Amino acid sequence: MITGQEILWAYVLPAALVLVSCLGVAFTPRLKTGRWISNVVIAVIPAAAFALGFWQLHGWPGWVPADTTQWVMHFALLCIVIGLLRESHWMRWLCLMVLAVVFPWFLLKPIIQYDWTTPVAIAWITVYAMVILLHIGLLEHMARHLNAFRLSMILTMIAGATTVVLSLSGSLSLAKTSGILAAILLAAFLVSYWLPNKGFLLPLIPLFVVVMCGMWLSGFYYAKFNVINTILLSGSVLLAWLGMWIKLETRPAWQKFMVHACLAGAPLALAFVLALMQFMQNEANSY
Amino acid sequence: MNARAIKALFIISLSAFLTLPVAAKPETFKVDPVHSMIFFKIQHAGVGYTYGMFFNPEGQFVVDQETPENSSVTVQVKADSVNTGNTNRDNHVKGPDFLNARQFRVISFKSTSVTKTGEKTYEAKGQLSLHGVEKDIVVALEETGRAEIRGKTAMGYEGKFRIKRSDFGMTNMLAGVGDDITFQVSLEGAIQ
Repeated sequence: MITGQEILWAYVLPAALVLVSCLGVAFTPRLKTGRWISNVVIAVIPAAAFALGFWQLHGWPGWVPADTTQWVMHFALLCIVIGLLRESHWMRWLCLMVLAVVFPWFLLKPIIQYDWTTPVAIAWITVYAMVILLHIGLLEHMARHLNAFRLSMILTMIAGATTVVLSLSGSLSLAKTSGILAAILLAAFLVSYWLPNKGFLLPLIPLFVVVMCGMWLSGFYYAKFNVINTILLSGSVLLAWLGMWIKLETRPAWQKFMVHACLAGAPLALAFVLALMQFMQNEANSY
Repeated sequence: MNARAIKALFIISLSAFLTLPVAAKPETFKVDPVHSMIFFKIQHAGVGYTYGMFFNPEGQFVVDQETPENSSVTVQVKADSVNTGNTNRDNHVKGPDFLNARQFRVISFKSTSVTKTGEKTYEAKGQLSLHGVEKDIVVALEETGRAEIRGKTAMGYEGKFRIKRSDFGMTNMLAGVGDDITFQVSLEGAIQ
């Protein structure tokens, strides 16, 4: 259940902010992509737009939010800093490593507190930190080598599929949060038609990974998001990266595009079908 | 005065002393999870009421008949014990859209003051902790009975209160699921 007000303020407005600011980058010679100011725009506006959407949907989470799933907003804002550290390679990766450890730790604090022993908690946080860093590494590699149009399409597909699967899996609140990112990425996808330059979406990658990993982990631990769907959705990033290596030089651009989309989209489609089947089964016991 | 008269006077004095009212001690009762129930009702889509229940509450209540202000009550229940008679709905209610039971595992009430309002009725003010939010609420209490069960004194109270779930940070689906939740709590406890 989403109200018209929520659609307007939490999805249309953030997407419009990203659309206008990125178009500004695309059509203003002084703000051409690659320049420091364009990095600032791409790093600041999407994260700020996400925070705006989040605030409209869930209210402003206090510092140390009572609901740990709301940490995603604070970490989304932290991504602004990381996005701005593009020139300082080591500093940036140091920040990313800290984020990769602290983010799942804060997000899963109740599970760590009540369900896991210290060694188990250390093991899982290490695994999730590595998954976060792997996602950032793969997506940044793609951002450097793929045009922004292709990459933004893949990112929009992943965020959109996560939103749909979460809503089918019984968590509207998480699905709504994921939907903000999907709306922002859709705007970036539209802009990338005019601004397909490689590297354009690089500052957006930490935001994407933080929100998506936040949703997958929250869905799995706090909602009824099954393990297969979690693996399929997060695995789509790896498949999309592998899709880059398929040699299709002789094929037309649209065929390369379709092959890549199908490869990244296959696990997403499967996750959607599984979630839909589960949803239909539950319909027999609907309420 | 002869010895017989002295003896009679002593017996009268002793019996008079024994029948003097003695200040009753506060009694502490441990909540019996099997015979205590927490019901709630919430309106669905502005139409009918859906009822649900939390199982196995724990806690204790202290009853001071002479000075009710010294009475107190503490109750806690696991959030994931919620049951509304539909497994899918229960899973949804336990999830992040409502109780977020894996994060906020316990719902508790701790009284801060108890006031006698009638022959067997009381008003307990205290803090309700729900969904990670603590708020002051007022519970209307009624003594429902007192008896000896298996050689132990048992007492029962029924409490009623109403909250707005949005006050406790549960703001999802307010258009479809009512904001007001009415609780009815029946506590039975055995003396400690």
